[in-house]
Amino acid sequence: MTNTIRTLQPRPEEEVYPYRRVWRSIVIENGILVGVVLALVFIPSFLGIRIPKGLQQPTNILLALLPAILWMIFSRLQERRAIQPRKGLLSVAIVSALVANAVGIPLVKDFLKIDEWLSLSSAIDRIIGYTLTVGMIQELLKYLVIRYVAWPGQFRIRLDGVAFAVASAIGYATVQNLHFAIDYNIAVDSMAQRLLITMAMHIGASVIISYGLAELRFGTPSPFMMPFLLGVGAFIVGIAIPVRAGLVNAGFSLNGAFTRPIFGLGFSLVLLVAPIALMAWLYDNAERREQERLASMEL
Amino acid sequence: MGFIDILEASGDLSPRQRWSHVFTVVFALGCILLGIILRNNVLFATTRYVDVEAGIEADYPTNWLLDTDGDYVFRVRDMTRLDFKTVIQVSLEPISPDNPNGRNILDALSLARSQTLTAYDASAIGDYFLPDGSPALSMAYTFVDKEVNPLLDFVPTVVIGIDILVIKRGQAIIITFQSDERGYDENFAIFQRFLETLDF
Repeated sequence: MTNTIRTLQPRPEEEVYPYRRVWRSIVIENGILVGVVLALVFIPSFLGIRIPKGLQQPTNILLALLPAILWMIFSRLQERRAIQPRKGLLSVAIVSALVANAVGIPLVKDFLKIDEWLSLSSAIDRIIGYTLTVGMIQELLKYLVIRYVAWPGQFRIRLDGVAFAVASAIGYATVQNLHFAIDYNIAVDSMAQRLLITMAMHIGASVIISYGLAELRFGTPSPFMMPFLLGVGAFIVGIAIPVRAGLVNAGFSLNGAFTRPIFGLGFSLVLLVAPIALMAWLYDNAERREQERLASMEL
Repeated sequence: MGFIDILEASGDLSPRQRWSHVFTVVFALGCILLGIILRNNVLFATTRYVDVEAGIEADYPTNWLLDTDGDYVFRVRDMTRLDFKTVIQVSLEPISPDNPNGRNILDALSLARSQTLTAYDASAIGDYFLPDGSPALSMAYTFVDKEVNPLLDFVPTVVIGIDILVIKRGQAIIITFQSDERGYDENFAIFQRFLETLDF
């Protein structure tokens, strides 16, 4: 039985930590990503620089690949330096990317045709609609990839869940961003804003799902916890798309119509930071509980 | 530091883990199914049109614009389309005793359109059967839709149209469908659903 494993995540303050520190990687990767996005949104308008239209699409494609490049440098390559590297991270990322390209995106774009019916609905209908369609499909596919490629075999400590969830999120989101960059030749600052919300959505939702998988592997949660967390992850996607669109899109006024990128960026940052912070606290709590339980058993 | 004992995970799962996986997949598939139902309710929502005088009833897409002011019984248009607005129109024409199958009505329609529509090209008139099995005549045609206002920047659109003519109660009922050729297949499915509900 897998639930009888008595391994503990080593305390970070211990001298040698055998695993790559996932939270640190997430903070570095997303910190750089946020920096690049903010630079692309604000510096050109401050300096009056305009990226030529011919360079727009190649820049957007490069931008779409940026999260994957950062993940390769700060997660995948760092993993090799760890004493106990995680196996299967790249497989999870690649399979997630393939599943997104072959199943997720065609299902949402060609079968459900979200843009044709949801974009004109009321705010509540859009939140429900996006949760039940885009959110649920994305999160179910990422869950299935982690479940069948890495879980439970590659889960040795709770935080392995986060590492695999981020790998899956990076794979899925990269394909989604590439599709967008290739299909629409939009301004680089708009692409940067879209990149940030996509990454925030995927990483936030995946980290929540990872907690369920980790608990299922090392704890004794209710069998309903995993579907509940999947629902929460899908809800994050469901709420992010319409709320961000509502914040960014221009309202009509006597002075004209202007988009409000700052609101959108602020919302994306909250969406990126809040689930990660909450789940880091929950992971820490779960780990502490486990340590206390083992300590009481030793006594 | 203490020794980190890494156990190889065994392949067998506890009942709790197995049930959790089953519940997760069932829950997600149930939600996606609800999403599809929601989509169908919005995409295929219809409104009933009833004209007691003409004796015509039909269900048309809810978000299409109904118009009864022209020389037709009624016309509905998809105003959400950016280019050519997809049209379904029902009109009535008396039948000449010399030509009881109504073929001359389609010829007259074709002649009138060739004088008003750009690059109008009609195919031959053929037999058609309505979803309820009633025999009818059909005529397919194409034309180019151009914006009349020269100040508006507008790329001409190729439109595919089809007229279906049914003889009933001594008069000809002409059901016209016109759509941008890029969305023709998709819109034709809407037209077929319309025909299934058409009662006269």
